[in-house]
Amino acid sequence: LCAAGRSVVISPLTRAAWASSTTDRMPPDAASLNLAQLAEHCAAETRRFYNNEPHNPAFCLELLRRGFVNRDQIAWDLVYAQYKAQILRWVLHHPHFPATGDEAEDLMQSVFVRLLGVMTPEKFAQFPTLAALLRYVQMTVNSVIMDVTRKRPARKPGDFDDDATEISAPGAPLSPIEKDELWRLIVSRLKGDGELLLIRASFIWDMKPAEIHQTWPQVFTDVNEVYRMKQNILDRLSRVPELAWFLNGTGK
Amino acid sequence: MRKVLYRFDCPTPHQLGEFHLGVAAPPDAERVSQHVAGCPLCQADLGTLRGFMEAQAIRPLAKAEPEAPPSVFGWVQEVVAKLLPATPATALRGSLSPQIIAAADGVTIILTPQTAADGSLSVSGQIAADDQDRWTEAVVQLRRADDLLATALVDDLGGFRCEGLSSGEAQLRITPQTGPAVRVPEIELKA
Repeated sequence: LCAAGRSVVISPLTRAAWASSTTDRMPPDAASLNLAQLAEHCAAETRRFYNNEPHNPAFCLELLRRGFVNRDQIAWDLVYAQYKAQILRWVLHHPHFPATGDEAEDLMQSVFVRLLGVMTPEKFAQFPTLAALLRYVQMTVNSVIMDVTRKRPARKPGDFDDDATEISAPGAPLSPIEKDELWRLIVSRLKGDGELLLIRASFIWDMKPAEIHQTWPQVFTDVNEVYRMKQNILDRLSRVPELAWFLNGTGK
Repeated sequence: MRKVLYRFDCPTPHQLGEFHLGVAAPPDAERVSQHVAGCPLCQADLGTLRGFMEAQAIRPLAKAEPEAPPSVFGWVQEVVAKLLPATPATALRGSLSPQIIAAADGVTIILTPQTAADGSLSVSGQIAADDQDRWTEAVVQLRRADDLLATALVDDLGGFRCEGLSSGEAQLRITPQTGPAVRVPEIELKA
């Protein structure tokens, strides 16, 4: 906190954002407070909030603004100190946290890293209140955790007993563009909306044949139809030269 | 093929979140909206997000019950933390001891029991609270019936450690310098 007296620069954009959209009125002196004073007020006002007492969120919002918008390292450290416990608590209470297999502290750090990456001055200006900004932080906790759970293998090895048509993709991971191209190629060989739905459900949504039938009984009259149709599609795709490398692992 | 294509065209969780909060750029919002309309997985993800945002919204703390039931710690005001289910994640890690996680309104306590070289138990603890400052230098007490097993102080990062323990049930109480204490009434200590 020894650098608390450093000067603070408020960009015209941010000042305009304050003027136009801030409903947590900034006290006249908040912008002139040094970081130590801001952090102290922010902590005190946060305690008042939790104790259900009248409170002024403008100090915390200003501290966050200096951290996010001004990229002031000391302000950022103070933001971290002020909000790490809340973010850790959100991580621990997220319903998918147990499935990540990660340490809560690591996920908390990832949340701060992501916030630094996404919180541009323009983005910050979209949050008229501290409450709105903290909702965004809470959403970021969710997105970090969901990223981890989404990246895990869609199914465990050996979990394809009901699905003899599973084909493993060979080689290095595909880029998003390559995936788009692959998908367009597959779609170009499909016949009708039913096949498109089946392939999307099977490979993009990772649904089992029984689930597909149960979800769209009007499209797939029984689970055998799902198996049959899927096998027909895969046989057809395997005859497409451009897909052979992918389906048979014969090279790109 | 599903390994390659799994959710390849879904918006990222962060894009979904910005869409949900109404802060996505208009072209992104339109694209995400159209995608979500036809994607059951993204609809489920949005449901998870909505539930999480609602259940864990920041709210003022509940007032401590003035007539809290007596405990072995006496009549000082306290809130009672509830144990959360053990996380499969800790079990998956295998080599790590299972964590004990307890939560009260605004306070989460994580305990990690470990076996020391001499066979005794130690417990590393972490307290995470909305009002974290209040818990710095709080007094940690571990009791079994009327016996005080160990005491410790919470450091400025919310950590504490109790050593020289034995297996069995215990109660944990953490008393800050101001405000109500938090108590975890039934902890099964084992490595």
